[in-house]
Amino acid sequence: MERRNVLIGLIGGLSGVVLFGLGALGAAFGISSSRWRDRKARWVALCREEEVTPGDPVAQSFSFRRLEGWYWQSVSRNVYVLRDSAGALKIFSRRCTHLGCPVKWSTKSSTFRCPCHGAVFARDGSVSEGPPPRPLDEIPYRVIDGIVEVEEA
Amino acid sequence: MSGHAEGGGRAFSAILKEWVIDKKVPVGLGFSRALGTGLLMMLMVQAATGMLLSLCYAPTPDHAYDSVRFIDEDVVGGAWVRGLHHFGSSAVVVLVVAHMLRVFLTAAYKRPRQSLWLVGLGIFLVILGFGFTGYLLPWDQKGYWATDVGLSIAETVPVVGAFSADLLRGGPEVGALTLTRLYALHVILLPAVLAALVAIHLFLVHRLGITPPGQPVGQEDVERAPFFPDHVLREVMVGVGAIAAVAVLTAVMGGAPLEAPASRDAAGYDPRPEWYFLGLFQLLKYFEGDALVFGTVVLPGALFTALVLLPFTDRNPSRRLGDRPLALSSAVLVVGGVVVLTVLGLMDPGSKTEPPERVLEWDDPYEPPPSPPFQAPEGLPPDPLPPGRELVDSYECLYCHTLEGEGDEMGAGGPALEEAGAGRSAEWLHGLLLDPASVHPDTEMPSAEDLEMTDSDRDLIVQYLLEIAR
Ligand code: FES
Repeated sequence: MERRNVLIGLIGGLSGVVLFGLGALGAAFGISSSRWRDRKARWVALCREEEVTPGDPVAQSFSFRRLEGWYWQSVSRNVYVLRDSAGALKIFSRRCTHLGCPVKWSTKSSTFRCPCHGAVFARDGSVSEGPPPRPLDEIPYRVIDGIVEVEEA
Repeated sequence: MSGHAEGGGRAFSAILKEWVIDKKVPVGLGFSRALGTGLLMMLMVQAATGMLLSLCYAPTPDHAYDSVRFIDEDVVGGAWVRGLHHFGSSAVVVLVVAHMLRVFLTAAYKRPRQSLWLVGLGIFLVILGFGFTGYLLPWDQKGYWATDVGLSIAETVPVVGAFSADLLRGGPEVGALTLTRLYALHVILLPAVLAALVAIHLFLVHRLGITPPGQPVGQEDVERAPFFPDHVLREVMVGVGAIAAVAVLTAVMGGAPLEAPASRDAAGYDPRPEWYFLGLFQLLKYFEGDALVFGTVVLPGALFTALVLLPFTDRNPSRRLGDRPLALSSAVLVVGGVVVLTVLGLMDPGSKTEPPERVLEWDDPYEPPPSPPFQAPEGLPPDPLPPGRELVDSYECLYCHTLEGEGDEMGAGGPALEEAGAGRSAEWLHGLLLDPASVHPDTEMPSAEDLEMTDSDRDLIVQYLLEIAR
């Protein structure tokens, strides 16, 4: 019985080492390949500062390329650029904060409206009606030589 | 529910008992009788590493190489996984040949195990198929050119050769369709066939039992000992030993090789197949012109036919090597021939005068392509679009619909606008825009009111939809 147990232990131990090794390797492989390589976000030009007036927000879009694994994917983002009541420039993402449909500026009511589930956002991005959990996302920017730039993201 | 689970559990332990715990095998089995299970374990490692590789691999010429480089350089453990898979294929070939030799030398293919031998030959062919189809996948020079040569060899088969080579290659030259085809064979067809053959093989081993060492044909009634744990340990040791050897090889070689990306115009590149095809490759050098078919088809074909017929032509009832001079001498001849050819192939310096350097100047995939300089909108305004078309933009119909095949960025699956007006009246379209839910109760489409669409805009859009209707 003694010898038999040693043999069984060896069988279990050897297969265990292989299974553990392969399992750990597989986990590392699976997890790390699901992360994109970190890269310093770069600034991309969006529009000229002077185009943005205190009136209706201006729909703009920017695009950039991003490395997904081995693949350079083109991504484009839609935003609204406007001046707030104090005259400062603001950029809102057009992704509705509910489920991501594109919001649209309504000149008549001076609100952003989402076509999907009826959300209404005020000119400052806050939710005035509908299901979204938070105001429209604001996008950081910088102005260089009169050109508004936003970060790839 | 619990009854099912219990039943399943009982069935499982019954199978485990019958197939492993209570199984009895002839006494006197050594490590040579553990090669088959060792091979099976190695094949499982190939399946596991192959599965992982497929998570990050793209079988297209424009991305295959980059995705393999991504695995090697960016994925944690990626070089290990690819290395294990690459060198594991060699271990599989070594083990399958060793297993076949053992079966031959112990005359285990004789009655009543002829069917086992035949299924085993099928497994051998599938394994060679894995080796051939996997070689191209990294889309580097050696894979590309070895595949090119391999398919040209297939072409020399009389009558069906050219046709089947084209079928495998997906055209007259190795390219995008070859890659997808060989990939599909490598990851779908061959694994399925292999799994089926292995299952049949195992079932037959269980049914027919392990060949008693040294006994003449017909003598199956021998002293028996438990299969578990003694022989199981031998099997696990062979399997784990092979896996460990592959791991050491991977570490020593620093992962699987990867040459420059495949390029058609690699003048002077001397293609070499993987070492286990080298004997065949070398053989072809001795047959010129029309005689080539002897090297590509006749000799290998004759050898394989002899192996298939072996259990039926070899009527010698003895299993002792001393009583089997004919079998022994033909084995020495064949194995010796293959070894000599392989060694000659390995020693042949070939025409490779310089190391395979990068033929293509290729872009570093991690350097982002330069973005075009920002062009402030100025100069002439673009050509005016028809008013309806502009409204389609300003109401953002194309977030959900498509026009000329573009749009539907949301992936909402809205119908093509060209279809919208087809066979419809203006009134019907107005009705649709005013209240989409009246036509399609489940639609996500916003109504004209939601969109704050003016009546005149709606008119223009309806006109436009009718204009483009097809
Ligand atoms: S996605 Fe905008 S309201 Fe639901």
